[in-house]
Amino acid sequence: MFNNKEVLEYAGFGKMASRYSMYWDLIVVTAIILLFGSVIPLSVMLMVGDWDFFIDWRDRQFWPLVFPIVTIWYSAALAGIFWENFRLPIGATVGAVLLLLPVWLSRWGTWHLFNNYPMSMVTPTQVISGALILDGCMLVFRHYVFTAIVGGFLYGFTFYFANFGPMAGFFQPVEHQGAIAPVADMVGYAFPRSATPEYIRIVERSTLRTFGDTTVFYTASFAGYVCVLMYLIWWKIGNWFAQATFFPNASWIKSSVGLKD
Amino acid sequence: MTGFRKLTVLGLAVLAGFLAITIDTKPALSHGERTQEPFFRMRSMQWYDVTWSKTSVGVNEEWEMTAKVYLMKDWPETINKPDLVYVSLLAPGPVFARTESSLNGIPARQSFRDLKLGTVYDYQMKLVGRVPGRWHVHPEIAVAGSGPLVGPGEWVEVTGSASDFAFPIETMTGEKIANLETYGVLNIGMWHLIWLAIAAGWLLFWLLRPLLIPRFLALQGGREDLLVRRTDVVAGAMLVVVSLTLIFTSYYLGVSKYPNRVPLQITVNEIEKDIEQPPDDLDITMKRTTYDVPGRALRMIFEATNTGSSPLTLGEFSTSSLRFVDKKVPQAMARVAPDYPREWVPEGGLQVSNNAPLQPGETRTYTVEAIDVAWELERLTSFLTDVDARFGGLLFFYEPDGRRHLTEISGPILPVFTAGDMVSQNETGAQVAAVSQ
Repeated sequence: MFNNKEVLEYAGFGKMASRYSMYWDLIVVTAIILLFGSVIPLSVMLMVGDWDFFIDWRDRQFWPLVFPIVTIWYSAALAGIFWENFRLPIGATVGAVLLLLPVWLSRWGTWHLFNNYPMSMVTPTQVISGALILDGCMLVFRHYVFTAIVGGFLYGFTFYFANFGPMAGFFQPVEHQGAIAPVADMVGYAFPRSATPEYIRIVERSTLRTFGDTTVFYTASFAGYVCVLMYLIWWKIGNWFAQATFFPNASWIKSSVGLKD
Repeated sequence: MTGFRKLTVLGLAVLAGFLAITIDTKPALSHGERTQEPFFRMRSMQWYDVTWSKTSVGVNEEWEMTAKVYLMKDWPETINKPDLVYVSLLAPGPVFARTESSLNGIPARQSFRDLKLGTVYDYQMKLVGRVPGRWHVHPEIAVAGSGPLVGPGEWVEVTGSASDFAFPIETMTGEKIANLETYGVLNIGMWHLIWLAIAAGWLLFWLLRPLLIPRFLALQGGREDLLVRRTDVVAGAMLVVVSLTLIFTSYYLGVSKYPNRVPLQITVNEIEKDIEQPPDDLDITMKRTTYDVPGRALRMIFEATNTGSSPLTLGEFSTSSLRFVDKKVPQAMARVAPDYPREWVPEGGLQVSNNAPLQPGETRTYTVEAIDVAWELERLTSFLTDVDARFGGLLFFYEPDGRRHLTEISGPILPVFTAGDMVSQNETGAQVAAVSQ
């Protein structure tokens, strides 16, 4: 299925070198998991915040806009590093997985078990679907600009549709004290957050109201356009930071794995 | 010491430190209600007549918290006015579930706009026990731009098993949701698992090959053809198609299962009608207020004129949920419920220089002392260093039949640091009182 032997032979790796190369891969993979598994969820927590934390913040305007725009940063940076140096079209997926898994762990452990938030209020949002499209486009186009235009747009545009379906039940109407509320609002109301009053929600506010009930298509399209731009910028940022210039011991690292300085 | 030994010692030290700070940890029970500056708490919202219908409830058992809250006219300039507020409660997380709440009888699921200063509002909240434990619960109204303003707290114990908790609701389309706490989690989790499985497959498809160094060398040697083959490109195209198909399938399944949906609601309510306000047949002029630092005593000198038709007796001074009650006034003592949390009713009570009933039309200068360590415990003495060295509170005067009059009082406050100052201040107060009488 794979041409592993050919690649190793071309690289001049014998049996022993291949084994040590694999060990090195394991070290790097572990480092990536630990580093980006912490950095990406933390950044999303700071940059997206309540729109991702709580089900009653997931509106049709800001949630589908802020979330993909922020998360594509890391997907693009990782994609740039993996593709430019190793021709591995997995960077975006790695970023998305290293966001979702730690966030599930954090919501279940910190939020639910330690702080008693119901999981229905704090279930995470996923961007794996968009990341897979990005990596697929990278492989097909083999150029980051075309990937940004097609894949970046689809990443932003499809975010809402990929996440709304599974949580559509949260938008069923409920009557409460003589007024209508979606189930999501009821979750936010029933399980009180003392320091998060209802009025601080930034949801469903903008002049997009003038487009009637089709708000989400405009938001999703706008998210797509911004993601194109973000992908281009963060691809460059990722590659710039991945230069060996940033490692003072670059020569030592290279020589330790048999590379010439 | 060799490098290895150094590392071992360092590792053991880190482990010991970690164990030292984690082994004997206890849950935090307070919520920071004493961290707000005194002028903030003493001159914004005054809570009174607070009740907790039960102090021990089972899981799923309903109980109620009610209160009256007065918005001070002398609202601090440093915080926002109550133009946008939310009725809530202060507790250590969602250990209770809220079923109903209201302000002046108007449902309070959403925020209110434009509350009026100098007005009393009626607070009500119905809750059910959710997480077993002993929890400190306060009524709270959050003010946009200012933060949560809380009333007195009471310990409420929740008994039973958390696994028995359920919050059932029925949607307007007839779907019965057995428990709001867990609703939808399985469905969202299942879709996330599907995406994770596809991602895992895609990653394995690449990670099972030689990874970093061989690929880097091949790429440097211009052999990209070895790294990305035609079958890989086809796999990438398929991945895009499968992902798009799955995205819109999941969307279609969701919206077709729930065709009647409503967006998040952002209404802001208005209090159309005030509740009946308590009488206030008093005209108060503040003369001087001091806080005696070593004696832990607040001393007020004010002039009061009874503008009503019934004699009035000063019974209580209330500020920041502390109730200084004159124990010699039976009408005031009758307002202190036997089960009211004692931490909010300082033992020292209220000492009034001459508390004979103030007759209709009479003007008198009162010298009033509220002495208790509670000033320190509640951290209400940092006004000595505040940017706004004013105090505030409510005075409750009583008619002989127990009818209560509510009067706001506020003004500058001066610290008294030494015993000499204390004597001087007492003498000043006594002189003013004597002149008046």
